[in-house]
Amino acid sequence: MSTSFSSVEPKVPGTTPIHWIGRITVEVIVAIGELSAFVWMLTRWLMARLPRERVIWPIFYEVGVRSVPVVCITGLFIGMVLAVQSYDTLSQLHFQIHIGSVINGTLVKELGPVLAAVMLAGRVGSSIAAEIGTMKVSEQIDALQALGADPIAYLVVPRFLACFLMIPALTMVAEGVGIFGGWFVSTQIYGVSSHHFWSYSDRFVSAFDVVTGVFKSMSFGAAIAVIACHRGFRCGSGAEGVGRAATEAFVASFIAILALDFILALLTIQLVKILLLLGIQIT
Amino acid sequence: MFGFRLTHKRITADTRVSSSKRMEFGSVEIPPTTDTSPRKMSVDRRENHATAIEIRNAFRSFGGQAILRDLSLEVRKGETLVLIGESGCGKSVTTKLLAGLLEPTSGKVLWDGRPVRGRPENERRRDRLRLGYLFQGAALFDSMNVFENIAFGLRENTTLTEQQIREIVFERLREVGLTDNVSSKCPSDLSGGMKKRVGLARALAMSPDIVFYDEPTTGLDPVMSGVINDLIVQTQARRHVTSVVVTHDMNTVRRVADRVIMLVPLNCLTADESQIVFEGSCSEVFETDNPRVSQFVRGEIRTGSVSSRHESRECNAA
Repeated sequence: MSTSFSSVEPKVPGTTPIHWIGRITVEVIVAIGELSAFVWMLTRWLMARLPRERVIWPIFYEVGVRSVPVVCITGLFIGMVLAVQSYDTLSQLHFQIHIGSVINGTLVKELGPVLAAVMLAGRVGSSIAAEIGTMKVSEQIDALQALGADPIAYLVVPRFLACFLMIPALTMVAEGVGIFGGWFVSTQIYGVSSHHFWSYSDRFVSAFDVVTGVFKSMSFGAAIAVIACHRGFRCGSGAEGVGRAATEAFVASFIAILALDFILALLTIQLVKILLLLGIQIT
Repeated sequence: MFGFRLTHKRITADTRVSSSKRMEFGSVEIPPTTDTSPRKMSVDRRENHATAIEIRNAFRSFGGQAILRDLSLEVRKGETLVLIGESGCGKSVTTKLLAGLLEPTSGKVLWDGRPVRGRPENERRRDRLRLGYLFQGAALFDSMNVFENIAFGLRENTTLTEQQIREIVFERLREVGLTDNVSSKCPSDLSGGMKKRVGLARALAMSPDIVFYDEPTTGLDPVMSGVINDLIVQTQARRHVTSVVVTHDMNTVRRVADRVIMLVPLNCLTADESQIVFEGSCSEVFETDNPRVSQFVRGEIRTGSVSSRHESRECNAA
C-alpha cells in the first residue's frame, strides 16, 4: 500500500525557514559557480582558436542582419514617442527648441544601447537558449562531442562573438533610426526648426557619450550570449524544459541588462569626474 | 601521387594524424603506434580477448537519484556486447560512460587500460574519435543536411579536401544502403529508419574502432529493424570493429550478440545485489533459468510487477 511508504520515508526534505534559506543559499552559490566555470571555459576557447568561417558567418547573419528590422521598428517608435512626450513638457517651459538635445542625449546614452540589447535578448537570446536546449534534449550535444567537436567551442564561442560584435552595430542602427523618428516628429509635426534640433543635439551630445553607449552595448551583448547559452546547456528534459530555458534566458538577460546599465552608468559618471579632475576635456 | 581510392583504415590513420598535427591528408606516413595508440584497439576478433574499454566500480546519479551502483564491466576487443534491461536500468548511461560522453560520479572508465579521467582534453577528444556512436533518436544536426551531418567529423578533425570528404560521405551512404541523392535532404525529411542509417553513416565516417548503438531498432517497423540489425552485422564483418549495442529488442540480441549483459534498475534490487543480473553468451540468455532474465527475454509480465513499479514510483516522487 502506498500509505505504508510515508511512515518509513527517511529523507523527508526540510520545510522550516532555516532549511529553505540553506537550500536557496546553496542553489545561488552553485549557480554562480556554474556560470563562472562556464565563462572560464568560454574564455579559454576564445583564446585558443576562433571558429571556422563556415560556422560563424550564418550566426553573425542571424544575430546581426536579421535583427535589423525589429531594431529599426522599435528604435523609430521610441524616437517618435520621446519627441511627443518631451515636446509636451518642454513646450510648457518654452524650451521646445532644446528638444534635439533631450531626444538624442537619451537615445545615445541610454535608450539606444538598452533598446538594442532588449531586442537582442528577446529575439536572439531566447532563440539561442531554445536551440541549444533542443540540441541537448535530442542528444545533438552528445553527438557533437562524439564527433570530436567541443560544444563550447562549436556552439557558444560563435554565438558569443556574434552577440558581442553585432550589438554595437545594432545599437548604432537603433540610435540612428530613433533620432530620425524624433527629428521627424519634432520638425515635421511640431514645427521645431531643424537647425535648432541639430545645434542643440550637437551641444549636449558628445562623442564620449556615443563611445560609452557602444561599449555599454558590448557588455550587454556579452551578458546576453553567456546567459542564453548557459540556460540552453542547463535545459531540463522535454518540450517543457526547452520552453522554460528560453523564458529564463530572456528574463535573466533582461535583469542583467538593467543591472549592468545601472552599474555602468555609475561608473561612467565617475569616469567623467576623474577625467575632468585630470583636466581632460570631454567632447 | 596519392590516389583517392582510400581504404577505411588509411582514412582512420591519416585523420588521426591530421587531427593532432594538422598535417596534409595523404602526405604523411602513418607513425608507428605506441601501446596506447588507437590502432591497437582495432584488432581481429580471433586475435585475443583483451579489453578495449572498461568500467570499474562506477556510480552515477542524476539530481540525487542513483542510476548506476558499483557497476563494473568490460568490452573485449572485436566482440559485440549487447546490453539489455528494462527502461531506466541505466543501459544508455552505461554506454555514455564507456564512450566518455558522461563521467561517473565515482569509479573509473578505462580506454585501452588507461583511465579516461586525467587525460588532457585534447587527447581525450582525439581518442574519442575512435568511438562511433549511433544515438537513440539518431541525433542528426537539424541545421545541416545529410551530407553535412556525415561530413561533420571529417571537417572538424581533418584537413581533407572537399573532394575527398565527398568521396568518403558517399561511400558511407552506400555502405548503409542509401543513395547519393539522400545527401541533400534535411533530417526532418527522413523517415525513422533513414535517420538511423544516416546516423550510422555519420558514426562510421571517421572509421572508428568501437561503435556504440543506442537502441538502434527502437521505433522502427519490423522490416526496418531487420535492415538495421543486418547493418550492424555487416559493419562488424566488414570493419572488425568492437560493438556495444543497447537494446530491448530480442531479435537484435539473437542477430548480433556475441555476449549479453542484463542490467536491472536499482529500485528493483536490494542494497547488496549486483546491478548486472546476467552475463553470458547469446544462446545462454535464451536458455537461462534466472527468472528475471527469462521473463525479460520472453516479455512476460511479472506477478505484481505493475503495482510494485507503480508504488516504487510513488515512493520516489514523494
